Amino acid sequence: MAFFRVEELSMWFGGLAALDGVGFEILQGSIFSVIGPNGAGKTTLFNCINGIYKPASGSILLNGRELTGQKPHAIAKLGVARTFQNIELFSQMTLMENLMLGRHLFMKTGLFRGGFMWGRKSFAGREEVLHRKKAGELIELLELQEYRGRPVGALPYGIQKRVELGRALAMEPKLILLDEPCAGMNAEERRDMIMRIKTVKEALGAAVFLIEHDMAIVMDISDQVLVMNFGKPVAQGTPGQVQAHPEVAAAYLGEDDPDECLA
Amino acid sequence: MDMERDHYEDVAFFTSRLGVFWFVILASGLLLFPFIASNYLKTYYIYVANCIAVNVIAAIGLNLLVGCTGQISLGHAGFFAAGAYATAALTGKLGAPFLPALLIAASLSALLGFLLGLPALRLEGPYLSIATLGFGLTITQIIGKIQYLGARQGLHAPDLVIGPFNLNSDAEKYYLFAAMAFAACLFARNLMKTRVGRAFIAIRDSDVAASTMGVNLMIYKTLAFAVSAFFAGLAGGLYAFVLGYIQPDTFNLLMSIMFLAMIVVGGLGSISGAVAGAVLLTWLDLTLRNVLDVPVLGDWLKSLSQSYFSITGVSNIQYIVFGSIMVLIMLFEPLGLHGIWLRTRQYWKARSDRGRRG
Repeated sequence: MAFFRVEELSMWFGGLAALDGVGFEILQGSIFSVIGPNGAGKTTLFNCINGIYKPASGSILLNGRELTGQKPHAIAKLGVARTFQNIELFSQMTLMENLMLGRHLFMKTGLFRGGFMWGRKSFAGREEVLHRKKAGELIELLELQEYRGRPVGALPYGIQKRVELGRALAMEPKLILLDEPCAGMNAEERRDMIMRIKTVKEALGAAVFLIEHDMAIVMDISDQVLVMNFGKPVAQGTPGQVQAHPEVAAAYLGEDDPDECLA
Repeated sequence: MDMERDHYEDVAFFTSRLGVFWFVILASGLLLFPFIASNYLKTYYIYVANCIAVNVIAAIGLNLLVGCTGQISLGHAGFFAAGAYATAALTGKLGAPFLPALLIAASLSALLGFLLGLPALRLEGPYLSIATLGFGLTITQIIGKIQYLGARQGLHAPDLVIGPFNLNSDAEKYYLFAAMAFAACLFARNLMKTRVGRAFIAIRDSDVAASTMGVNLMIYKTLAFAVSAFFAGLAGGLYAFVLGYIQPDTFNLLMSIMFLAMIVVGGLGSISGAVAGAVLLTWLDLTLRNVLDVPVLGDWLKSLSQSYFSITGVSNIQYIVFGSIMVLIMLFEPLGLHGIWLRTRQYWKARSDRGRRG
């Protein structure tokens, strides 16, 4: 059985079908991309997966466990992390504190043990150090050391995107949803980000579910690609298969010359 | 290089010798204050200090909710009243010892906070302010109808007795209140440096992201209300013994707004800001009440108010001043006193860096 499976997922906004019978499978440790024009329902799909929206019908299974109908925090606990298209960092917190939010589920310090934290030997003190160390390793992996103690709201856009990736990784997810991680970046930053996504995937062994508009990137790194249009799945397969699909060319790549877009 | 970093530094109370130095200065200043006040100033200032300690606790609590979690409350006078009445009734009517009574009263407040937090899950911004406003007004109305609590006539607080000590004078109470205020600061500070406090701030900055990181919004929002109300209840319980006599009208809407003004003036989200705001506004409040006794200014204000306002205009002078301060803060320094402190520190840092280089 596949590690992550979506079956017949539908979601309506008023009379408009944002998702209409979407289904696919993601294998452990693979990179799965979804592409499609604006309004195709890609972000809606993400929002359904991590519980921000409740789909009208269908099911989402992670290791055989149903995710639909669960709250976002419960889904996070099952091992789904995500980044957002429009960065949703905790802008007034430092970079380290942002990553520490990713460690939230691994920590146990509550109101009293936190409030009465008494020195580094206390439970809260030891736990803080332990998890800050883990977050520190991620900061190194993503080469963010120089921004460690800075409030993230004031960091450059590209760095913020990287911090968001780091924050999702701090959750040690099984499945990581990346909503346009390269949006608004120049070619060099994009290459850099893709390299990091690959490194991170290797290092953590998580499956990556990617929304991306840059076709070159998608075709380069994906194991499987799903093409959507108007909430419906149009085609699915390896990058090669998808590119050869006639409907894809019509819906997304432009009818005339698909190669031009792929260049 | 990062491997050798001592991560405890991020949460440690003292990070430098300078910090220890200033802490010792501050602590000895607080310890010596009653002597200084009774010998060189008026003992009245000890009473002022007690009011300040109470308001510091309440402001820190409100700051946890408004500044850190991003939820608004216009009903904190309600929690404050619940704490005050419960403490006074438990000690005065039932003869309970002071500290347990205070703790029970504050917990009762926290329970009310939890209950008020439930609708807050579905309300935001102006709707939440109205809901909390309604709560604050309702509590005093209810208390005003309960004969057991003295109804409209009010309730006397008994002597403040802790074990063998009878804290009669303001100076004796001062040490208890200052210690409580200090403990409250420390608790809030630790809380904000650890897991629960981070979850609060995360909810304020982006609740969607917080929930996808595993923060249970329902639990943490209601928890923020409960903790905040606990602080308010604690402060209220102490306030009953500052005044010695409480009545429902004491805990009016203006009190809730005063708490809010303290944390806005101090700088939302900053604990030291909340303390500074509470100190400044409490002092102004108590001082401006007596502004008519000031030799020249008092007479001038009196004539001014009689010719341009109603006769009662001048009795509200403190609110006029507060309003102006709020407007000025919003216009020139939205981060409040905390922002002014940050800028001053930055200025001196830059200056000393320049000095070292040049």
